[in-house]
Amino acid sequence: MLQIEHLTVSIEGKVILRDFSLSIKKGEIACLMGPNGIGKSTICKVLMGDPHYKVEAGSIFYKGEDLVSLDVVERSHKGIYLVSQNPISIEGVTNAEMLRAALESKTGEKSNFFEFNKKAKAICEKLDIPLEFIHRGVNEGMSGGEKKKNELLHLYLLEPDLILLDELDSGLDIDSLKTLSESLSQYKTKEKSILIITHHISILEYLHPDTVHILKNGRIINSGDYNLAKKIEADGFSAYEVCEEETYE
Amino acid sequence: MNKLLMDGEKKTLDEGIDVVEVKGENILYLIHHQVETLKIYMEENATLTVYDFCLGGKNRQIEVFQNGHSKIAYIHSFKATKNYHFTYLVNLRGNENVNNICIRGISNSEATLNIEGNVVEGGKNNELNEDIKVLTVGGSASVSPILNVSALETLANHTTAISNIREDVLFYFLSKGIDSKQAIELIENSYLYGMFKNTEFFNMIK
Repeated sequence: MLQIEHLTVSIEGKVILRDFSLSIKKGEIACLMGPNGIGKSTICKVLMGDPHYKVEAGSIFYKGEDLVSLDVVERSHKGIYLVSQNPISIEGVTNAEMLRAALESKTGEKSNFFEFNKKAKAICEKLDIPLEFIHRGVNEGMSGGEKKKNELLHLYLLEPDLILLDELDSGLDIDSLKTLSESLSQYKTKEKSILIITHHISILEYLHPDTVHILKNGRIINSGDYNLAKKIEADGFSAYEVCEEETYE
Repeated sequence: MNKLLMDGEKKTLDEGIDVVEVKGENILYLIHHQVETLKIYMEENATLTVYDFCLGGKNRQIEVFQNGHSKIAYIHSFKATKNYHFTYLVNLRGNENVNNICIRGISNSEATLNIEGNVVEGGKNNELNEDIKVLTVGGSASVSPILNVSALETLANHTTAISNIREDVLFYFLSKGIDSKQAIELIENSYLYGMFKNTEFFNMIK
């Protein structure tokens, strides 16, 4: 599904990723680990097409298509979805308004008000999200856990194929993390892939990754399965000579 | 002087009215061009919510007089397609008055907002809250808050944010698959209509 090869990325002239390669198969759950400040979040932003990041070299192919040539909207329409570490709040725009605009943009058709509400209501019930979320401002007045639940409501409605979880576990209590992980597991099929960015193992206990990669100096230095994550939990990142660096996330 | 007496009413202000006297619980709607100057006199224990929507309309000067145990929420949104001046003067006398003013606006030209709160000596436990956000889209905005507080135990807050469309908000919408034209429309509408959602006024102005 995703093939990143020899990617070098910079921001404001500073190189964040160097010769970074990563492959994610259809249906795979991949995990990228490393301490804070090492460039993990950069991967998500680059894949989503954040214009602040400049691809200096290398390639990204998604479903066989050159991703670098696509803008943010096109990437979203192709099925890439980012759950940010701190989803922003937008006063005065409701979830319903935003999601209907997103669906209309994606399909090119006017969304049916009643069908949208019916589908959104069913998703809220499935995810145990209060129905009033649909007509609340985007992440407005929500706690950290509620914001991430809200992002999953968006995800279920927009039906992406590649989900980028940028530290989903950040700021969540264990119950919220478990609930959100279960919701993601329910969504995940053999057609969908997930990239988990984290520095904790707790989320991996619920979303069992097929592959685990450790990032250092902007490139992957070690790869393995879930056991690698358990080793990191036991030994720490320092055992792999990975330490926090002064760089952009 | 054309006066309107309100006593437990919900009303759209008629053109030509320049004084409102308020008793009981009330809601007042102001739309577009109807008002240039308006004085609002609050009786003791009166409450008033004003919804004020101005799309490229005339300049406004609103003056509010509260004389004790009264509460007013003034909710104003505007779009300044030409130069727009809005002045809001508050006079709080006596005890336990609350005045909350919340303004959201878009400036395509030049918007000037003068907000002046006077809490007169002798009273106590008065509250004045000013919350202003202006989105500049090809225009500019300036907000001049003045708080003259001479009474004990007064709580006065002022917040202003003037900004262009935020890059992170735009990126968020784009990442959901919404094109930039639609995204900007959503952002602008949030300033113009966001405060009125789930109110009767929303349908009136839409």
